Amino acid sequence: MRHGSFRLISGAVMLIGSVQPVAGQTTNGVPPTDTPTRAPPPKIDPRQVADFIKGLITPKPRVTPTAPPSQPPAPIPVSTAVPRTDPPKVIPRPAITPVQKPAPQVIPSPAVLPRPVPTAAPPPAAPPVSPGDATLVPELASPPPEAGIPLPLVPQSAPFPWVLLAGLVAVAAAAGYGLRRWFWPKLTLDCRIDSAAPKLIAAAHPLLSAPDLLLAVEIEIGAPSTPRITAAN
Amino acid sequence: MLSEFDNLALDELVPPECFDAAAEQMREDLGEQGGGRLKRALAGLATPRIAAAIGQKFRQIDVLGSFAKGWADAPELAEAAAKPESDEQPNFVRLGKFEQELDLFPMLSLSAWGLTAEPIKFTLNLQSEFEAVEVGLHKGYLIQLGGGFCRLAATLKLGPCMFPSGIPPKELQIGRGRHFQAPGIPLIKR
Repeated sequence: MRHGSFRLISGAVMLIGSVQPVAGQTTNGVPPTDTPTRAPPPKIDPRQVADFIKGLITPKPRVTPTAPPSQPPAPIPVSTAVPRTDPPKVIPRPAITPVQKPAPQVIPSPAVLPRPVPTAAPPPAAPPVSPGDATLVPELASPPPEAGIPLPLVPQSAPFPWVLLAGLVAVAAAAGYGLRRWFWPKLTLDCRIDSAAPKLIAAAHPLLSAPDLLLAVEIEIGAPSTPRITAAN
Repeated sequence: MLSEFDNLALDELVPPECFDAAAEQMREDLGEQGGGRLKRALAGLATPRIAAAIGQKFRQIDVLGSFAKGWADAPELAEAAAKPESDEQPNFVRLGKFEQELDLFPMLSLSAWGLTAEPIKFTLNLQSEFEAVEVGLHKGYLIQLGGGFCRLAATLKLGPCMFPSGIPPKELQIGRGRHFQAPGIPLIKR
């Protein structure tokens, strides 16, 4: 993961570094009013720079050479079957020097191939721009096509979904915590008001309180019964 | 020491539990009959207040005077009424011991949210036993009561249901005397 991030960051830095303002203009595209005309930088062959950096970065392969070390060729045999009357003519032979074969070129697999760092292209020679010409659109200097190997900026094996998911979870947790910190005092205050003033609630919601019950009682008096004498006076 | 009849309170005769039971019975009856839901709901709301409301109204009733209206048939009073009376002084007659009943009909009307339910009619049956009550008569009217005792009991009824109080009869003293406003209580001869 760190390696992938490093690749991403380095690629982005290289991309940004490749954008150079046009000579005679600032980065925001506004031509300076009185910028002295500078001499164009010395031209450097970008291929040479790329090869140089590539040579610095490219690790040496650890693959053992498959070909055996070169041996000196066998000496040319001299025929001795035909007798010669002439004194032997010594023909000087050229000095045999062992032919040094070039080191076998081992092509590493793409997985272990270190990616060459694209080199920053030298600023191209920009045409002279008149200082008063404000309608010119700044041109982004693009590296020459032969400056380096174009690389994808996003590695294919980067675990982006997990990073994105973790970020979303963190943002959601922070938002929830913030909302809770913001809402909780208000909710607590409301609950305290509700519990401390039940009469106010009853007044605000009369249907929840007891209705005004009118209880009218009238007592009708019946006729008394005839006295039943149990003991005369 | 006996209580005065005039200070009689209803809860001394009928405990509030009897009114609660009557109100519950009333709600059940209304449910079985499919009666008015408003009436049933109001009865439920009014249950804890029924006893107090009826008791408060009971204090405003002259219960003793209501009993006395039926004493004209007492033989002692009949004899006294036959005697000539003076214009100034009333005739005093001491009654013997007799029993008498009186029915009171508390009418309970419930109103809430601007709606009034059909009145609920209770029956409060009072059973009394008077003894040695002295009665003052003047021109065919009972104008004074004095002395004597009364044992009073009550039974609450709601329709066919009775709610006995379980309280023994209350011993009351009619007291030093009770004067009725002129011309007094008319004696009704039946």
